[in-house]
Amino acid sequence: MIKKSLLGAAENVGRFSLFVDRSYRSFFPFPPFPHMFKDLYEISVRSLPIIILVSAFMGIIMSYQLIYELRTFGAEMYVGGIVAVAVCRELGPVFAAMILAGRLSSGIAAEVGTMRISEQIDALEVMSVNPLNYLVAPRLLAALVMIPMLTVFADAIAIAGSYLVAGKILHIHILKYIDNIRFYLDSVDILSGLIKSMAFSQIIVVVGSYFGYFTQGGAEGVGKATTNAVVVASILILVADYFLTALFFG
Amino acid sequence: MIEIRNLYKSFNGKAVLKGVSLTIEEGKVTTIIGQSGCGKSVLLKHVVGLHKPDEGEVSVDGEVLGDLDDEAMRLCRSKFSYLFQGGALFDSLTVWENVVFPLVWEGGRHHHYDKRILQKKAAETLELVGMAHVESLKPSELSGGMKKRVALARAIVHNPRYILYDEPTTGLDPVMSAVIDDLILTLNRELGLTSVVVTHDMQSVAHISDEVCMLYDGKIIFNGSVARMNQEKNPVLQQFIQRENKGPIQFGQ
Ligand SMILES: Nc1ncnc2c1ncn2[C@@H]1O[C@H](COP(=O)(O)OP(=O)(O)OP(=O)(O)O)[C@@H](O)[C@H]1O
Ligand SMILES: [Mg+2]
Repeated sequence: MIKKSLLGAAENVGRFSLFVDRSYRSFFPFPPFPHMFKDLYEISVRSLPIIILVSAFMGIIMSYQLIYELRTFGAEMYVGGIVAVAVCRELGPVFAAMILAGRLSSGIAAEVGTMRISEQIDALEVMSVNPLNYLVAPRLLAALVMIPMLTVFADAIAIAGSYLVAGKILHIHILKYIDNIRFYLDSVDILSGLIKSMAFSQIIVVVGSYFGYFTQGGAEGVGKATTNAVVVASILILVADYFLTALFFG
Repeated sequence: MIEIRNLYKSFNGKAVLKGVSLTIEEGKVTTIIGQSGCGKSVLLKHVVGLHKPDEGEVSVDGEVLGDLDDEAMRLCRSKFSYLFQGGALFDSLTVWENVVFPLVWEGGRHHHYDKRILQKKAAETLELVGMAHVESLKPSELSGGMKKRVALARAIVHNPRYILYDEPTTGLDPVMSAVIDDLILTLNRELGLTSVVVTHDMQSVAHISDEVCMLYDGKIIFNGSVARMNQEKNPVLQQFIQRENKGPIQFGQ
Protein backbone atom coordinates (compact mmCIF):
# COMPACT_ATOMS: atom_id res chain seq x y z
CA MET A 1 0.00 0.00 0.00
CA ILE A 2 2.66 2.52 1.06
CA LYS A 3 5.03 1.19 -1.55
CA LYS A 4 2.36 1.58 -4.18
CA SER A 5 1.55 5.16 -3.28
CA LEU A 6 5.26 6.02 -3.15
CA LEU A 7 5.69 4.56 -6.59
CA GLY A 8 2.67 6.51 -7.75
CA ALA A 9 4.13 9.72 -6.35
CA ALA A 10 7.49 9.07 -8.01
CA GLU A 11 5.76 8.40 -11.30
CA ASN A 12 3.82 11.65 -10.98
CA VAL A 13 6.96 13.65 -10.26
CA GLY A 14 8.68 12.15 -13.28
CA ARG A 15 5.72 12.75 -15.53
CA PHE A 16 5.39 16.29 -14.20
CA SER A 17 9.06 17.08 -14.94
CA LEU A 18 8.68 15.77 -18.46
CA PHE A 19 5.53 17.81 -18.90
CA VAL A 20 7.28 21.00 -17.75
CA ASP A 21 10.16 20.32 -20.09
CA ARG A 22 7.85 19.71 -23.04
CA SER A 23 5.75 22.79 -22.23
CA TYR A 24 8.72 25.15 -22.39
CA ARG A 25 10.04 23.49 -25.51
CA SER A 26 6.68 24.02 -27.17
CA PHE A 27 7.05 27.81 -27.28
CA PHE A 28 7.95 27.84 -30.96
CA PRO A 29 6.22 28.46 -33.29
CA PHE A 30 5.25 31.40 -31.15
CA PRO A 31 1.53 31.49 -30.24
CA PRO A 32 -0.32 34.19 -32.19
CA PHE A 33 -1.07 37.25 -30.10
CA PRO A 34 -4.87 37.37 -30.59
CA HIS A 35 -4.87 33.86 -29.27
CA MET A 36 -3.25 35.06 -26.04
CA PHE A 37 -5.59 37.95 -25.61
CA LYS A 38 -8.28 35.88 -23.93
CA ASP A 39 -5.80 34.54 -21.40
CA LEU A 40 -4.36 37.97 -20.68
CA TYR A 41 -7.86 39.25 -20.08
CA GLU A 42 -8.85 36.30 -17.92
CA ILE A 43 -5.76 36.60 -15.77
CA SER A 44 -5.83 40.35 -15.35
CA VAL A 45 -9.19 42.04 -15.57
CA ARG A 46 -11.27 39.12 -14.37
CA SER A 47 -9.00 38.49 -11.41
CA LEU A 48 -8.86 42.10 -10.35
CA PRO A 49 -11.93 42.37 -8.09
CA ILE A 50 -10.93 39.51 -5.82
CA ILE A 51 -7.31 40.72 -5.71
CA ILE A 52 -8.46 44.20 -4.73
CA LEU A 53 -10.75 42.86 -2.06
CA VAL A 54 -8.20 40.58 -0.45
CA SER A 55 -5.25 42.99 -0.62
CA ALA A 56 -7.21 45.91 0.78
CA PHE A 57 -8.42 43.74 3.60
CA MET A 58 -4.91 42.46 4.24
CA GLY A 59 -3.53 46.01 4.51
CA ILE A 60 -6.31 47.15 6.79
CA ILE A 61 -6.08 44.22 9.19
CA MET A 62 -2.30 44.30 9.33
CA SER A 63 -2.33 47.96 10.22
CA TYR A 64 -4.83 47.47 12.98
CA GLN A 65 -2.89 44.64 14.52
CA LEU A 66 0.45 46.36 14.19
CA ILE A 67 -0.69 49.66 15.65
CA TYR A 68 -2.16 47.85 18.61
CA GLU A 69 1.10 45.99 19.28
CA LEU A 70 3.51 48.78 18.38
CA ARG A 71 1.79 51.17 20.74
CA THR A 72 3.14 49.22 23.70
CA PHE A 73 6.64 50.26 22.55
CA GLY A 74 5.55 53.70 21.40
CA ALA A 75 6.65 52.71 17.92
CA GLU A 76 3.31 53.03 16.11
CA MET A 77 4.75 55.59 13.70
CA TYR A 78 6.68 52.83 11.95
CA VAL A 79 3.58 50.97 10.86
CA GLY A 80 3.84 52.20 7.27
CA GLY A 81 7.37 50.92 6.80
CA ILE A 82 6.66 47.56 8.37
CA VAL A 83 3.51 46.97 6.34
CA ALA A 84 5.19 48.01 3.10
CA VAL A 85 8.20 45.74 3.58
CA ALA A 86 6.10 42.75 4.62
CA VAL A 87 3.65 43.24 1.78
CA CYS A 88 6.17 43.80 -1.01
CA ARG A 89 8.53 41.06 0.01
CA GLU A 90 6.16 38.38 1.06
CA LEU A 91 2.46 38.86 1.56
CA GLY A 92 1.58 40.57 -1.72
CA PRO A 93 3.18 38.00 -4.02
CA VAL A 94 2.11 34.99 -1.97
CA PHE A 95 -1.47 36.08 -1.37
CA ALA A 96 -1.95 37.08 -4.99
CA ALA A 97 -0.50 33.76 -6.11
CA MET A 98 -2.72 31.79 -3.74
CA ILE A 99 -5.83 33.56 -4.95
CA LEU A 100 -4.80 33.07 -8.55
CA ALA A 101 -4.03 29.40 -7.91
CA GLY A 102 -7.64 29.06 -6.78
CA ARG A 103 -8.93 30.90 -9.81
CA LEU A 104 -6.58 30.02 -12.63
CA SER A 105 -5.08 26.62 -11.83
CA SER A 106 -8.56 25.26 -11.30
CA GLY A 107 -9.95 26.97 -14.39
CA ILE A 108 -7.13 25.76 -16.60
CA ALA A 109 -7.31 22.23 -15.19
CA ALA A 110 -11.07 22.11 -15.80
CA GLU A 111 -10.83 23.43 -19.34
CA VAL A 112 -7.89 21.30 -20.41
CA GLY A 113 -9.35 18.28 -18.62
CA THR A 114 -12.65 18.65 -20.42
CA MET A 115 -10.76 18.93 -23.69
CA ARG A 116 -8.92 15.73 -22.82
CA ILE A 117 -12.00 13.65 -22.03
CA SER A 118 -13.98 14.95 -24.99
CA GLU A 119 -11.09 14.03 -27.32
CA GLN A 120 -10.37 17.65 -28.27
CA ILE A 121 -6.72 17.17 -27.37
CA ASP A 122 -6.62 14.07 -29.55
CA ALA A 123 -8.17 16.15 -32.31
CA LEU A 124 -5.39 18.73 -31.96
CA GLU A 125 -2.79 16.01 -32.21
CA VAL A 126 -4.32 14.48 -35.30
CA MET A 127 -4.26 17.92 -36.90
CA SER A 128 -0.51 18.05 -36.10
CA VAL A 129 -1.04 20.87 -33.64
CA ASN A 130 1.09 20.47 -30.54
CA PRO A 131 -1.48 20.66 -27.72
CA LEU A 132 1.09 22.21 -25.40
CA ASN A 133 1.89 24.93 -27.92
CA TYR A 134 -1.80 25.59 -28.37
CA LEU A 135 -2.97 25.33 -24.77
CA VAL A 136 -0.07 25.84 -22.39
CA ALA A 137 2.49 28.15 -24.00
CA PRO A 138 0.14 31.13 -24.46
CA ARG A 139 -0.99 30.87 -20.86
CA LEU A 140 2.54 30.62 -19.52
CA LEU A 141 3.38 33.83 -21.35
CA ALA A 142 0.21 35.62 -20.38
CA ALA A 143 0.71 34.70 -16.74
CA LEU A 144 4.35 35.76 -16.80
CA VAL A 145 3.31 39.22 -17.94
CA MET A 146 0.13 39.68 -15.96
CA ILE A 147 0.72 38.11 -12.58
CA PRO A 148 3.70 40.34 -11.61
CA MET A 149 1.63 43.33 -12.70
CA LEU A 150 -1.28 42.16 -10.60
CA THR A 151 1.14 41.70 -7.71
CA VAL A 152 2.39 45.28 -7.91
CA PHE A 153 -1.19 46.34 -7.96
CA ALA A 154 -2.00 44.17 -4.96
CA ASP A 155 0.97 45.62 -3.06
CA ALA A 156 -0.23 49.14 -3.75
CA ILE A 157 -3.77 48.38 -2.67
CA ALA A 158 -2.60 46.76 0.54
CA ILE A 159 -0.42 49.77 1.39
CA ALA A 160 -3.29 52.11 0.61
CA GLY A 161 -5.51 49.99 2.85
CA SER A 162 -3.02 50.22 5.66
CA TYR A 163 -2.94 54.00 5.31
CA LEU A 164 -6.70 54.12 5.66
CA VAL A 165 -6.36 52.72 9.15
CA ALA A 166 -3.13 54.44 10.13
CA GLY A 167 -4.34 57.79 8.90
CA LYS A 168 -7.57 57.42 10.80
CA ILE A 169 -6.24 56.19 14.11
CA LEU A 170 -2.85 57.87 14.28
CA HIS A 171 -3.70 60.96 12.24
CA ILE A 172 -0.51 60.57 10.22
CA HIS A 173 -0.34 62.78 7.17
CA ILE A 174 -0.12 60.85 3.94
CA LEU A 175 3.18 62.44 2.91
CA LYS A 176 4.74 61.51 6.19
CA TYR A 177 3.41 58.00 5.80
CA ILE A 178 4.94 57.71 2.36
CA ASP A 179 8.21 59.14 3.63
CA ASN A 180 8.31 56.48 6.30
CA ILE A 181 7.67 53.79 3.72
CA ARG A 182 10.38 55.14 1.45
CA PHE A 183 12.83 55.08 4.30
CA TYR A 184 12.28 51.42 5.05
CA LEU A 185 11.39 49.94 1.67
CA ASP A 186 14.30 48.98 -0.56
CA SER A 187 14.09 48.37 -4.26
CA VAL A 188 15.38 44.87 -3.48
CA ASP A 189 12.19 44.24 -1.52
CA ILE A 190 10.02 45.09 -4.48
CA LEU A 191 12.25 43.31 -6.96
CA SER A 192 12.42 40.10 -4.95
CA GLY A 193 8.64 40.16 -4.68
CA LEU A 194 8.34 40.52 -8.44
CA ILE A 195 10.74 37.70 -9.16
CA LYS A 196 8.79 35.53 -6.76
CA SER A 197 5.53 36.33 -8.47
CA MET A 198 7.06 35.43 -11.82
CA ALA A 199 7.99 32.03 -10.46
CA PHE A 200 4.53 31.62 -8.94
CA SER A 201 2.87 32.55 -12.22
CA GLN A 202 4.59 29.64 -13.94
CA ILE A 203 3.65 27.23 -11.15
CA ILE A 204 0.01 28.29 -11.39
CA VAL A 205 -0.22 27.63 -15.11
CA VAL A 206 1.96 24.55 -15.34
CA VAL A 207 0.25 22.73 -12.48
CA GLY A 208 -3.23 23.54 -13.78
CA SER A 209 -2.30 22.39 -17.27
CA TYR A 210 -0.59 19.25 -16.00
CA PHE A 211 -3.59 17.98 -14.06
CA GLY A 212 -5.91 18.88 -16.91
CA TYR A 213 -3.73 17.24 -19.51
CA PHE A 214 -3.59 13.90 -17.74
CA THR A 215 -7.26 13.79 -16.76
CA GLN A 216 -8.84 10.37 -16.88
CA GLY A 217 -12.29 9.09 -16.16
CA GLY A 218 -14.96 11.48 -17.32
CA ALA A 219 -16.56 14.32 -15.40
CA GLU A 220 -15.43 12.86 -12.10
CA GLY A 221 -11.86 12.92 -13.37
CA VAL A 222 -12.18 16.58 -14.29
CA GLY A 223 -13.40 17.33 -10.77
CA LYS A 224 -10.41 15.53 -9.27
CA ALA A 225 -8.00 17.25 -11.63
CA THR A 226 -9.38 20.63 -10.62
CA THR A 227 -9.04 20.00 -6.89
CA ASN A 228 -5.59 18.46 -7.23
CA ALA A 229 -4.42 21.39 -9.33
CA VAL A 230 -5.37 23.93 -6.66
CA VAL A 231 -3.90 21.92 -3.79
CA VAL A 232 -0.63 21.12 -5.53
CA ALA A 233 -0.21 24.62 -6.95
CA SER A 234 -0.72 26.13 -3.48
CA ILE A 235 1.81 23.78 -1.91
CA LEU A 236 4.37 24.38 -4.64
CA ILE A 237 3.93 28.13 -4.28
CA LEU A 238 4.74 27.91 -0.58
CA VAL A 239 7.72 25.65 -1.19
CA ALA A 240 9.03 27.92 -3.93
CA ASP A 241 8.51 30.90 -1.65
CA TYR A 242 10.66 29.29 1.02
CA PHE A 243 13.53 28.62 -1.38
CA LEU A 244 13.36 31.99 -3.08
CA THR A 245 13.33 33.77 0.27
CA ALA A 246 16.35 31.76 1.33
CA LEU A 247 18.00 32.71 -1.93
CA PHE A 248 17.35 36.45 -1.62
CA PHE A 249 17.70 37.01 2.10
CA GLY A 250 19.43 33.88 3.37
CA MET B 1 -1.78 2.18 -48.08
CA ILE B 2 -2.31 1.50 -44.41
CA GLU B 3 -1.09 -1.80 -43.04
CA ILE B 4 -1.98 -3.02 -39.59
CA ARG B 5 0.05 -6.01 -38.53
CA ASN B 6 -0.73 -8.24 -35.61
CA LEU B 7 -1.90 -5.47 -33.32
CA TYR B 8 -2.39 -6.13 -29.62
CA LYS B 9 -3.72 -3.61 -27.14
CA SER B 10 -5.06 -3.90 -23.64
CA PHE B 11 -6.24 -1.34 -21.11
CA ASN B 12 -5.62 -2.05 -17.42
CA GLY B 13 -5.15 -5.72 -18.12
CA LYS B 14 -8.27 -6.02 -20.27
CA ALA B 15 -7.34 -7.15 -23.77
CA VAL B 16 -9.22 -5.17 -26.42
CA LEU B 17 -7.31 -5.97 -29.59
CA LYS B 18 -5.83 -9.45 -29.80
CA GLY B 19 -3.89 -9.66 -33.02
CA VAL B 20 -5.60 -7.48 -35.59
CA SER B 21 -4.14 -7.57 -39.09
CA LEU B 22 -5.68 -5.51 -41.84
CA THR B 23 -4.62 -3.84 -45.04
CA ILE B 24 -6.48 -0.75 -46.13
CA GLU B 25 -6.01 -0.16 -49.80
CA GLU B 26 -5.53 3.11 -51.54
CA GLY B 27 -8.63 4.71 -53.05
CA LYS B 28 -11.15 2.38 -51.46
CA VAL B 29 -13.88 2.72 -48.88
CA THR B 30 -13.29 0.21 -46.11
CA THR B 31 -15.97 -0.17 -43.47
CA ILE B 32 -15.38 -1.66 -40.07
CA ILE B 33 -18.30 -3.20 -38.24
CA GLY B 34 -18.53 -4.88 -34.88
CA GLN B 35 -20.29 -4.83 -31.56
CA SER B 36 -20.33 -1.78 -29.39
CA GLY B 37 -17.24 -1.80 -27.19
CA CYS B 38 -15.32 -4.30 -29.32
CA GLY B 39 -12.50 -1.87 -30.03
CA LYS B 40 -13.32 -0.19 -33.34
CA SER B 41 -12.50 3.30 -32.11
CA VAL B 42 -9.36 1.99 -30.43
CA LEU B 43 -8.28 0.41 -33.71
CA LEU B 44 -8.90 3.63 -35.62
CA LYS B 45 -6.88 5.64 -33.10
CA HIS B 46 -3.92 3.34 -33.61
CA VAL B 47 -3.89 4.27 -37.28
CA VAL B 48 -3.07 7.91 -36.47
CA GLY B 49 -0.82 7.08 -33.54
CA LEU B 50 -3.14 8.31 -30.79
CA HIS B 51 -2.75 4.92 -29.13
CA LYS B 52 0.53 3.06 -29.07
CA PRO B 53 0.28 -0.67 -29.76
CA ASP B 54 1.35 -3.10 -27.02
CA GLU B 55 2.53 -5.39 -29.77
CA GLY B 56 2.45 -5.31 -33.55
CA GLU B 57 2.70 -2.26 -35.75
CA VAL B 58 0.86 0.12 -38.02
CA SER B 59 2.46 1.43 -41.17
CA VAL B 60 1.27 4.20 -43.42
CA ASP B 61 2.74 4.34 -46.93
CA GLY B 62 5.48 2.00 -45.78
CA GLU B 63 6.47 4.04 -42.70
CA VAL B 64 6.03 2.30 -39.37
CA LEU B 65 4.40 4.79 -36.98
CA GLY B 66 6.35 3.60 -33.96
CA ASP B 67 9.65 4.49 -35.66
CA LEU B 68 8.77 8.06 -36.57
CA ASP B 69 10.16 11.07 -34.71
CA ASP B 70 7.95 14.08 -33.95
CA GLU B 71 8.59 15.83 -37.24
CA ALA B 72 7.98 12.71 -39.33
CA MET B 73 4.85 11.98 -37.32
CA ARG B 74 3.60 15.48 -38.05
CA LEU B 75 4.11 14.96 -41.76
CA CYS B 76 2.44 11.58 -41.59
CA ARG B 77 -0.56 12.92 -39.71
CA SER B 78 -1.02 15.70 -42.22
CA LYS B 79 -2.18 13.04 -44.67
CA PHE B 80 -5.10 12.23 -42.38
CA SER B 81 -8.43 13.56 -41.33
CA TYR B 82 -10.24 12.02 -38.43
CA LEU B 83 -13.91 12.31 -37.56
CA PHE B 84 -14.14 11.55 -33.86
CA GLN B 85 -17.07 9.56 -32.56
CA GLY B 86 -18.11 12.42 -30.29
CA GLY B 87 -17.19 15.13 -32.76
CA ALA B 88 -14.41 16.58 -30.60
CA LEU B 89 -15.26 20.12 -31.65
CA PHE B 90 -13.32 22.83 -29.83
CA ASP B 91 -15.92 24.36 -27.59
CA SER B 92 -14.07 27.62 -27.13
CA LEU B 93 -14.36 28.34 -30.86
CA THR B 94 -17.38 29.10 -33.01
CA VAL B 95 -18.63 26.67 -35.62
CA TRP B 96 -16.89 28.40 -38.50
CA GLU B 97 -13.62 28.69 -36.61
CA ASN B 98 -13.84 24.98 -35.90
CA VAL B 99 -14.43 24.15 -39.53
CA VAL B 100 -11.44 26.08 -40.85
CA PHE B 101 -9.17 25.08 -37.97
CA PRO B 102 -7.23 22.52 -40.07
CA LEU B 103 -6.47 25.25 -42.62
CA VAL B 104 -5.51 27.91 -40.11
CA TRP B 105 -3.25 25.49 -38.23
CA GLU B 106 -1.97 23.58 -41.23
CA GLY B 107 1.23 21.75 -40.39
CA GLY B 108 0.92 22.71 -36.71
CA ARG B 109 1.63 26.40 -37.37
CA HIS B 110 -0.80 29.26 -37.20
CA HIS B 111 -1.39 30.92 -40.56
CA HIS B 112 -3.00 34.27 -41.12
CA TYR B 113 -5.73 34.31 -43.70
CA ASP B 114 -8.32 36.89 -44.46
CA LYS B 115 -11.27 36.30 -42.17
CA ARG B 116 -13.80 36.68 -44.98
CA ILE B 117 -12.11 34.03 -47.08
CA LEU B 118 -12.13 31.63 -44.16
CA GLN B 119 -15.77 32.31 -43.39
CA LYS B 120 -16.69 31.73 -47.00
CA LYS B 121 -14.77 28.46 -47.05
CA ALA B 122 -16.48 27.38 -43.82
CA ALA B 123 -19.92 28.24 -45.19
CA GLU B 124 -19.27 26.26 -48.36
CA THR B 125 -18.08 23.23 -46.46
CA LEU B 126 -20.97 23.40 -44.01
CA GLU B 127 -23.33 23.51 -46.96
CA LEU B 128 -22.00 20.13 -48.09
CA VAL B 129 -23.08 18.55 -44.79
CA GLY B 130 -26.44 20.33 -44.74
CA MET B 131 -25.53 22.83 -42.06
CA ALA B 132 -25.94 26.28 -43.55
CA HIS B 133 -26.45 29.32 -41.29
CA VAL B 134 -24.97 28.06 -38.05
CA GLU B 135 -21.50 29.54 -38.61
CA SER B 136 -21.44 31.84 -35.64
CA LEU B 137 -22.92 29.49 -33.04
CA LYS B 138 -20.80 27.74 -30.42
CA PRO B 139 -20.68 23.91 -30.40
CA SER B 140 -22.58 23.86 -27.10
CA GLU B 141 -25.56 25.37 -28.90
CA LEU B 142 -25.82 22.49 -31.37
CA SER B 143 -27.64 19.16 -31.16
CA GLY B 144 -25.67 15.91 -31.22
CA GLY B 145 -26.32 15.25 -34.89
CA MET B 146 -25.44 18.84 -35.79
CA LYS B 147 -22.12 18.56 -33.93
CA LYS B 148 -21.39 15.39 -35.85
CA ARG B 149 -21.94 17.16 -39.14
CA VAL B 150 -19.86 20.19 -38.17
CA ALA B 151 -17.09 17.80 -37.18
CA LEU B 152 -17.48 16.13 -40.55
CA ALA B 153 -17.15 19.49 -42.25
CA ARG B 154 -13.95 20.08 -40.27
CA ALA B 155 -12.65 16.70 -41.39
CA ILE B 156 -13.17 17.38 -45.08
CA VAL B 157 -12.21 21.06 -45.26
CA HIS B 158 -8.61 20.44 -46.26
CA ASN B 159 -7.78 17.74 -48.74
CA PRO B 160 -6.35 14.82 -46.85
CA ARG B 161 -5.38 11.56 -48.50
CA TYR B 162 -6.89 9.39 -45.84
CA ILE B 163 -10.04 10.07 -43.95
CA LEU B 164 -11.15 8.06 -40.95
CA TYR B 165 -14.79 8.32 -39.97
CA ASP B 166 -15.83 7.04 -36.56
CA GLU B 167 -19.58 6.49 -36.88
CA PRO B 168 -20.38 9.37 -39.24
CA THR B 169 -24.11 8.68 -39.38
CA THR B 170 -24.86 7.63 -35.81
CA GLY B 171 -27.40 10.01 -34.36
CA LEU B 172 -28.53 11.35 -37.71
CA ASP B 173 -31.97 10.95 -39.22
CA PRO B 174 -32.29 8.53 -42.19
CA VAL B 175 -32.39 11.28 -44.80
CA MET B 176 -29.33 13.02 -43.42
CA SER B 177 -27.58 9.66 -43.15
CA ALA B 178 -28.16 9.09 -46.85
CA VAL B 179 -26.77 12.54 -47.62
CA ILE B 180 -23.64 11.81 -45.59
CA ASP B 181 -23.23 8.40 -47.24
CA ASP B 182 -23.33 10.08 -50.61
CA LEU B 183 -20.83 12.67 -49.44
CA ILE B 184 -18.44 9.94 -48.32
CA LEU B 185 -18.83 8.25 -51.69
CA THR B 186 -18.36 11.48 -53.63
CA LEU B 187 -15.18 12.33 -51.73
CA ASN B 188 -13.90 8.87 -52.42
CA ARG B 189 -14.92 8.57 -56.07
CA GLU B 190 -14.13 12.10 -57.19
CA LEU B 191 -11.17 13.10 -55.05
CA GLY B 192 -9.84 9.60 -54.53
CA LEU B 193 -9.80 9.86 -50.72
CA THR B 194 -9.02 6.57 -49.09
CA SER B 195 -11.74 6.18 -46.50
CA VAL B 196 -12.18 4.05 -43.43
CA VAL B 197 -15.66 4.12 -41.97
CA VAL B 198 -16.62 2.65 -38.61
CA THR B 199 -20.35 2.22 -38.56
CA HIS B 200 -23.28 0.30 -37.10
CA ASP B 201 -25.56 1.23 -39.98
CA MET B 202 -25.78 -1.89 -42.15
CA GLN B 203 -27.65 -0.02 -44.88
CA SER B 204 -24.82 2.38 -45.28
CA VAL B 205 -22.33 -0.50 -45.15
CA ALA B 206 -24.11 -2.04 -48.14
CA HIS B 207 -24.21 1.27 -49.94
CA ILE B 208 -20.70 2.63 -49.54
CA SER B 209 -18.29 -0.23 -48.89
CA ASP B 210 -15.66 -1.55 -51.24
CA GLU B 211 -14.38 -3.69 -48.43
CA VAL B 212 -16.09 -4.68 -45.21
CA CYS B 213 -14.30 -6.05 -42.20
CA MET B 214 -15.76 -7.26 -38.98
CA LEU B 215 -14.01 -6.97 -35.66
CA TYR B 216 -15.03 -9.57 -33.13
CA ASP B 217 -13.34 -10.64 -29.93
CA GLY B 218 -10.25 -8.57 -30.69
CA LYS B 219 -9.67 -9.99 -34.15
CA ILE B 220 -10.78 -9.40 -37.71
CA ILE B 221 -13.07 -12.31 -38.46
CA PHE B 222 -14.17 -11.23 -41.91
CA ASN B 223 -12.66 -9.10 -44.62
CA GLY B 224 -14.15 -8.88 -48.11
CA SER B 225 -16.69 -7.25 -50.40
CA VAL B 226 -20.34 -6.69 -49.54
CA ALA B 227 -21.41 -9.47 -51.90
CA ARG B 228 -19.05 -11.88 -50.17
CA MET B 229 -20.23 -10.70 -46.78
CA ASN B 230 -23.81 -11.62 -47.62
CA GLN B 231 -22.80 -15.12 -48.67
CA GLU B 232 -20.37 -15.71 -45.84
CA LYS B 233 -21.47 -18.50 -43.55
CA ASN B 234 -19.68 -17.31 -40.43
CA PRO B 235 -22.44 -17.41 -37.79
CA VAL B 236 -21.17 -14.35 -35.92
CA LEU B 237 -21.23 -12.26 -39.08
CA GLN B 238 -24.64 -13.60 -40.09
CA GLN B 239 -26.12 -12.84 -36.70
CA PHE B 240 -24.77 -9.31 -36.96
CA ILE B 241 -26.10 -8.75 -40.48
CA GLN B 242 -29.46 -10.35 -39.78
CA ARG B 243 -29.88 -8.38 -36.56
CA GLU B 244 -30.76 -11.42 -34.48
CA ASN B 245 -30.61 -11.64 -30.73
CA LYS B 246 -29.83 -15.36 -30.68
CA GLY B 247 -26.55 -16.76 -31.88
CA PRO B 248 -22.89 -16.91 -31.00
CA ILE B 249 -22.81 -13.25 -29.92
CA GLN B 250 -24.23 -13.31 -26.44
CA PHE B 251 -26.05 -10.37 -24.97
CA GLY B 252 -24.09 -8.93 -22.08
CA GLN B 253 -20.82 -10.37 -23.29
N1 LIG C 1 -8.59 5.23 -22.97
C1 LIG C 1 -9.09 4.06 -22.55
N2 LIG C 1 -8.80 3.60 -21.34
C2 LIG C 1 -9.28 2.41 -20.90
N3 LIG C 1 -10.09 1.62 -21.63
C3 LIG C 1 -10.43 2.02 -22.85
C4 LIG C 1 -9.95 3.27 -23.39
N4 LIG C 1 -10.44 3.41 -24.63
C5 LIG C 1 -11.19 2.31 -24.85
N5 LIG C 1 -11.19 1.47 -23.81
C6 LIG C 1 -11.88 0.18 -23.73
O1 LIG C 1 -11.68 -0.47 -24.96
C7 LIG C 1 -12.85 -1.12 -25.37
C8 LIG C 1 -13.16 -0.74 -26.80
O2 LIG C 1 -13.53 0.62 -26.86
P1 LIG C 1 -13.93 1.33 -28.21
O3 LIG C 1 -14.20 2.74 -27.88
O4 LIG C 1 -12.90 1.05 -29.22
O5 LIG C 1 -15.26 0.59 -28.60
P2 LIG C 1 -16.07 0.71 -29.97
O6 LIG C 1 -15.91 -0.57 -30.69
O7 LIG C 1 -15.65 1.94 -30.67
O8 LIG C 1 -17.54 0.83 -29.44
P3 LIG C 1 -18.74 1.77 -29.96
O9 LIG C 1 -19.30 1.13 -31.15
O10 LIG C 1 -19.71 1.77 -28.83
O11 LIG C 1 -18.14 3.11 -30.22
C9 LIG C 1 -13.94 -0.74 -24.41
O12 LIG C 1 -14.22 -1.86 -23.61
C10 LIG C 1 -13.37 0.35 -23.56
O13 LIG C 1 -13.74 0.15 -22.23
MG1 LIG D 1 -16.39 3.73 -30.97
